[in-house]
Amino acid sequence: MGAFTALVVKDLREILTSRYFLASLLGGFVILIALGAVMGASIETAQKATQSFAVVVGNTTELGQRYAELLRELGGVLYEKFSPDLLDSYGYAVVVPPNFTLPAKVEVYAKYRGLLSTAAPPFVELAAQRLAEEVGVPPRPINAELYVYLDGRVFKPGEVAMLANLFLISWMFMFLVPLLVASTAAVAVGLEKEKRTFELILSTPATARTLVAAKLTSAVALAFIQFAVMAAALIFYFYNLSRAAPPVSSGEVAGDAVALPPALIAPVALSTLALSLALLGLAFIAATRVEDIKTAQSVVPMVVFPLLVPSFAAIFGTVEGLEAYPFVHPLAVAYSAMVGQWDKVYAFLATDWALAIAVVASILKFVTPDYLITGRWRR
Amino acid sequence: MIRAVQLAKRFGKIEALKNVTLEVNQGEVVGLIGPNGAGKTTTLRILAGLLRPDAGYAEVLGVRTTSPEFKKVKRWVAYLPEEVMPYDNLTGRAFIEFVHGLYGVDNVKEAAEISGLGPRIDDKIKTYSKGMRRRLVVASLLTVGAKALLLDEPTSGVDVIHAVEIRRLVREYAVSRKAAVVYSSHNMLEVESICDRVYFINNGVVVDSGVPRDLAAKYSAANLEEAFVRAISI
Repeated sequence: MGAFTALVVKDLREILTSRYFLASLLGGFVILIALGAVMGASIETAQKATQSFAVVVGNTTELGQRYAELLRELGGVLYEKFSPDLLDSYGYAVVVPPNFTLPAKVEVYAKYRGLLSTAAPPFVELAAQRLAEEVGVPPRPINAELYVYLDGRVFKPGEVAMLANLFLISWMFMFLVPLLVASTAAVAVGLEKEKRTFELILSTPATARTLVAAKLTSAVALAFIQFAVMAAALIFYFYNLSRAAPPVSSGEVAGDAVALPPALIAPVALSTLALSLALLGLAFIAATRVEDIKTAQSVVPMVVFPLLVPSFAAIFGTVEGLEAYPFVHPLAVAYSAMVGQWDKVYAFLATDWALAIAVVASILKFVTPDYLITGRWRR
Repeated sequence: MIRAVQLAKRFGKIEALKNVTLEVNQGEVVGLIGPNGAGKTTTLRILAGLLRPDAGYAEVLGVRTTSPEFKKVKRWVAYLPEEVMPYDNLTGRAFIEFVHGLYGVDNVKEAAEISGLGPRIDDKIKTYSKGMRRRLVVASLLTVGAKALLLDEPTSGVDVIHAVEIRRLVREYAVSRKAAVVYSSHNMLEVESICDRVYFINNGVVVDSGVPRDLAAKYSAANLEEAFVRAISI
């Protein structure tokens, strides 16, 4: 236990006082904020230009007819009745209510097609603003309520906001945490390789298993410190995004959206932790193959990053059909938990933890002093 | 206390050790002498339990280095690798604490004292010269209470004054603690000055061994260096 503690404390002292480490942390923080601002503007432009949508308008007021007309001018296709089948052809369906007046409440329907489909489209607000200008009332007189179809279930506005938050957090967990864990392992192991300290450590009472366990522990601890800093940056990031595409639901509903039940977050976090451990094992092996810290930092992300790329699917679509691939499981877990398929949640978690345990157990078994010093597996 | 019997070790096509047999007794400093690639470091790594020999065996404090019991013996073994560099972002004191933590001892004051670093002990290691770094590692290991010391080029990069001091400390350590010390070096004059006995190693084989003075006489040489050259040319 003494050797284990000494190893972990040394790693934290060494890496947390590294200028390189702190600079990369600060760099990541600044880049995320900048990207949020740039991407927010870009998404706003893209959404204005490319959304296809249906406008459902039956018997309504004169103002409602004018609102539907403004939506049509923005690219909408008019229908008299709403049917969920419309969502096979259009990104959204906007239903103009019979009693439409200003300020108005409209229902917007969407089928879940990734994270982007969990926010009401900007044209709903844009048409309302134009209508308000025409009749001379203050801008933003509309409250769009988004309903999302997901796996045969319709999510109501408050639930949609929660769905968006859950999927977004799941995606961030799924992508960022394993990458941070792997990068930190690269630093922690690359440093020992560069300094030739494996020999010194392994000749003391510390065993190879103690060393590996300490490295994995300190890598996870450091990664979570990084994640906490990044999460703070992400708050600014999404603040910029939300300014670019303002929420169309009422403030009351948006307030509800922030509260995610721990029962939904916990399985996502557990899945992410398991996959991070599996990737950490892979990163550990990759880092032990190189001779210095810089190479380890270059090599490890190159090994780990491609494994995480499929998670980008979550932005533009569902991960259905990708469930056999473990590195999208946090989102699949979130999806299943959201629709109440807990048997699937438990199956994903069991798979993820079995993978993590197998990887860590293999490393503890096969990583020997011989291997760490000479780079050769013992026969 | 330290014994190696017919050690052999191969790394792929390279036969690092072919036949190395040596013995070091309590309170004795024994030198390993040989050129680069002779097999000195591989021998020390086997004695430290880091590598498993392909043939032969090694024992330290009466326990085979490949046996599960050797884990307990490692508490009493200190190995100084040739190329080890302490961590840049730690202070000298934090590094000593780290090494002592691995051994479960707390002897920072003595280590700081014999390192000769003075107030610089609280500076970050990245501000140290190569010699200061080496002194720090040597001081850390000389204060863990080891009964077997395996030193690979302990004075590498250290200036003459501090090299003399390190040699004096090692000599004193062996006598006062009744420890067995294996002292590997390229510098044969250095080895001659502190070792009770020496082993000549070349191409993974022990070519001769004995008391430095006797070896010099045996090869009609003025010093150990000349004796070694004559021994390997036979």
